[in-house]
Amino acid sequence: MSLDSLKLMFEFGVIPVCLAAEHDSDGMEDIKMVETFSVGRLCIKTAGRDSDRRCVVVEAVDAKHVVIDGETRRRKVNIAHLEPLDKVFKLGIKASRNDIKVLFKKEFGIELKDTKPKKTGERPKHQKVKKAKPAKQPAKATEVKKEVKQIVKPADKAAKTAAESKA
Amino acid sequence: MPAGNQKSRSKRRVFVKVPGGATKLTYKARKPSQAKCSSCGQKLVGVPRGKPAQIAKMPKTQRRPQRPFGGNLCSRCSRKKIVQENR
Repeated sequence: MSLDSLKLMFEFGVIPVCLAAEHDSDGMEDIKMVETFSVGRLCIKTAGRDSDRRCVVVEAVDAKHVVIDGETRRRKVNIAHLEPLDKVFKLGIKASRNDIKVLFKKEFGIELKDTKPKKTGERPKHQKVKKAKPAKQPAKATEVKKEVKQIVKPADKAAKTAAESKA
Repeated sequence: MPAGNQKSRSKRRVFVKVPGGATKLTYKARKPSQAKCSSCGQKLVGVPRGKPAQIAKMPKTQRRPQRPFGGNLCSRCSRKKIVQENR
């Protein structure tokens, strides 16, 4: 196939990605990739945790990366992780999430869900709580006890001496 | 001399130093082999080796990759299958 005929086919976006690799010459591969993954092209993700989900090309970043949105998260993706399908929807460049929700509901009857962004809170800091020690009251108690002991002893002694004297 | 059932190689031999200082031989169970792709036979990444009781205690996300056919097919074979199904 001549280059002129190939160029004509590229304009219509007919050549699939697998054939494009066989005819790579003079940097034509990038042009082919960009034309097959044009804005509005329906694709399926083949890699990652979003794989086997439908998405639509929203914006072309460069020859190898594209922004997608749909049943997947809205993100920049390598073209090698996408498989293009036959459908191409009419979308403006940088279509919003709401536009794509409307499109998917109209075409497939699916309501797209929004994932809430995770809020990273502060890590709980483990603080050592020092236990308050009970206040000691030894001095007064011992003094009282000593006083009591002192009081008791002479009385006992006096009682003993009195008892002895009577006897 | 080891007993007859201890000559089996289904258990691995481990030399252990006891608190007394001597070195003694003990027998421990072997881990199961690594999981393989059901189509191409390549070893699966992200799937840990362990007895079923150990794996059951792990969180679900640590047992296999979180993607379609995770833990069954390798990444290459899963991509091929997704493309085949949708073409």
